[in-house]
Amino acid sequence: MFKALVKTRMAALWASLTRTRRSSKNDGKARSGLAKAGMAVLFIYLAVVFLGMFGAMFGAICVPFYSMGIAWMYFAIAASIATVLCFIGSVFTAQNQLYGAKDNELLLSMPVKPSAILASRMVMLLILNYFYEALVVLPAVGVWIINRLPVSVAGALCTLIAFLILPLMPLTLSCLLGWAIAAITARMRNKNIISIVFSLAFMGAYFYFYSSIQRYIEKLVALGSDIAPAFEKAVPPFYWLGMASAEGDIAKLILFILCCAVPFALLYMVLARSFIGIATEKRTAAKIKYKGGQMHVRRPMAGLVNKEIRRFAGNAMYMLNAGIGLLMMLLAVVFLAIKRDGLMAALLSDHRIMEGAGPFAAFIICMLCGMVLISAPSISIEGKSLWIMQTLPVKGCSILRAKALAHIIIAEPFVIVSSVAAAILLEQSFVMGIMITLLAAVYTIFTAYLGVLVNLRFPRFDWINEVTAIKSSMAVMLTMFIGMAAVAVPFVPYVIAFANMKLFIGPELYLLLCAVFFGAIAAIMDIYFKKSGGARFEFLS
Amino acid sequence: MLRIENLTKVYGQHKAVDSLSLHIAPGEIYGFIGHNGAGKTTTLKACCGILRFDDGEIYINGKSIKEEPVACKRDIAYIPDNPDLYEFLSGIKYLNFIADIFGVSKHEREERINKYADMFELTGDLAQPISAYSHGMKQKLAIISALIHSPKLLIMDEPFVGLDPKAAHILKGLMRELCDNGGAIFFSTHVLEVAEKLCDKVAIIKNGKLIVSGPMEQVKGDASLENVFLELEEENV
Repeated sequence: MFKALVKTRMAALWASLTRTRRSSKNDGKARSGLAKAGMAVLFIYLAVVFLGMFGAMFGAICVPFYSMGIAWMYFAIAASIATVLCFIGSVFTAQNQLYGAKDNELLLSMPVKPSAILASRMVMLLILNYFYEALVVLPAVGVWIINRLPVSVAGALCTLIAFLILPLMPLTLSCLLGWAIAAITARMRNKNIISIVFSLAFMGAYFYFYSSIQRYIEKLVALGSDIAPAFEKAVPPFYWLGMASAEGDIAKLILFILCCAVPFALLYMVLARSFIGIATEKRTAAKIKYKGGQMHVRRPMAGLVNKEIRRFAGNAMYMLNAGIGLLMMLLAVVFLAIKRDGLMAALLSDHRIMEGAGPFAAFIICMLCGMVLISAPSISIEGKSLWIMQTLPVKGCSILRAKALAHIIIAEPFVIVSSVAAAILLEQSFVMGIMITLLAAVYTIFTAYLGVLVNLRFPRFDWINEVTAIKSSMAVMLTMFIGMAAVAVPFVPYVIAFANMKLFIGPELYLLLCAVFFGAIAAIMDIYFKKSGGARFEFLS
Repeated sequence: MLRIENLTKVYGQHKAVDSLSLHIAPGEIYGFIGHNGAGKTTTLKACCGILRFDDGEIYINGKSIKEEPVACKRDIAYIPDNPDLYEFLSGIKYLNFIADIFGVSKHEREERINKYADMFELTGDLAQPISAYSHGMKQKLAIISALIHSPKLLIMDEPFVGLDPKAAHILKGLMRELCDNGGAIFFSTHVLEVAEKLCDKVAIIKNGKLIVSGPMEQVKGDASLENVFLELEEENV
């Protein structure tokens, strides 16, 4: 039974990666070679970015730690980073997969043990955790090997076993926290708030850690041998893992395995016993009585846009994943305000650097705009309610435009405020300030249209949890990838020209041309919506 | 009101609907009966303009659904077999959204929402999020949203599923009222007793092909619709 459940989950995962949506034309056939190649390139790109980032970090600490005789701490740090990444990456997925899956009731009605349903879901979460873990552990091991540091058979085996067991620790934590969030929000009317608070706390901690990483690495390299005893005392499981990996210490490996497996087994037993109760609990808040007088008449387009905005505002997962770029934009401005004095001193020391500050600020804001993915899942998220849009007396192109417009309305205030603030803080001229704001605003329009276009080409409606559409769909990943690559199109030539002092036009004019470029592409996408995109939407299935 | 001419829809190698022709006049309640997978939902979806078809034509009020889909959709309302609505909205916000798109005035929407929500005893729950609704409540809301713009043609796929007996009785009354006011209804059902009592005309479809159609009395004669349906199913094996 358990095997059948896991097989079904794996088949669903595989289908989401390899098959197209079902339509009258293709009947859900396998993706074309080109689409598969595109997906492969996308995954390779993302893997290379992460592997490179962690590889550089481990490259800085590997040899120094070995030389100081604290090789165990190298593996312990890799394990702790992997644990944090797995935890952050899977905590909300755990909540939705375990307690919010739409097929819970269907499966519970079948002659399947609740423990088997729970186990099959946990296996999928474990696979997700292995993926996150690999992004950290592979570069850590790779750097160790590249530096030709000694590898014993016992050490290698212990490393393999330890890192296979390690994801049980973040899985236990994420299941526990997922359960806590589900329990806390069960009877809350505005359950979004608590989810957002939790998520922002995680993200804040993550970004704080990430922004301080260089400082930590320097400290670790300089004071590694002093920090090691404190690290050992503070988090003994990671010390045991480190000792098992670096020294091949079997006793420490057993301790580590027990430390990961026993809490996980206990949690599994508790959850298995209460799974039916948690999964089928009626999560209802106090009833709101309708008192009339809530009629607001809007024009059809305004109605469509309002509906899109309500969907975004009503879903914490959607807001956090699709709107993270907006938050980062504001954080970047705050960071700029804090570090302004030092930065201005550097900028004012050379007038050429000062000249490049405006365009660089604009491109950074555009990069962050590329991380705003409100429109990218907006078609897929319609799911089974797609029929409503399709039967309404509005053209398909109007619906697509409404989706792009909702993205623009939500994002533009953040973009404009951030752009103006950046221009003021960097003491840019009035014209440059206008150009930075114009480029960022137009680029937002471009990304809004891009998201809708990509989702129109890669929609998925067969999800059982909308997290799939919001977080891990092809459309979202592809939009982010194309959006960021699109910034590079004008940015890379500018950097090259700037470095070689061969700028033929002023920076203000250059930004204006960039804005025209992105505006023209957005206009072309709008024409596509009108000519054939709208008709395509009307018959999506 | 609805004219289907030689409708053909093919999925891969399978002909879901094969040269189907029907005519539904104003004032008629037209039942559409067939076994599972006979092609009923495919036909209904094609009539609503949400499914492309390979051959034939569909006219709503004289307008082609292929050529003028938006104009056709203005005249129709569709209720699918499963009322998957926007769970992030409250009932009243959903109704307002539909009324906005159909351009229903404030006065008319207030009047109709109050009328139908009271009839279906849903008024008190309109401020609740749809996610908190039961299947039957969602079905009632889907019916109210379908009636909010006074459609000329109501297309429904298994409309009685999930409704309690009282709500089903009210729906039957509303269906008759709509047709008495010059509208038309085309709906599929497996509840043959309901079809027999309610429909003016009936069409029976099997494997995508129309087996028989016409006025109810003519189709069933002295027998019950159930017997006629089962006999026709046997004959066409």
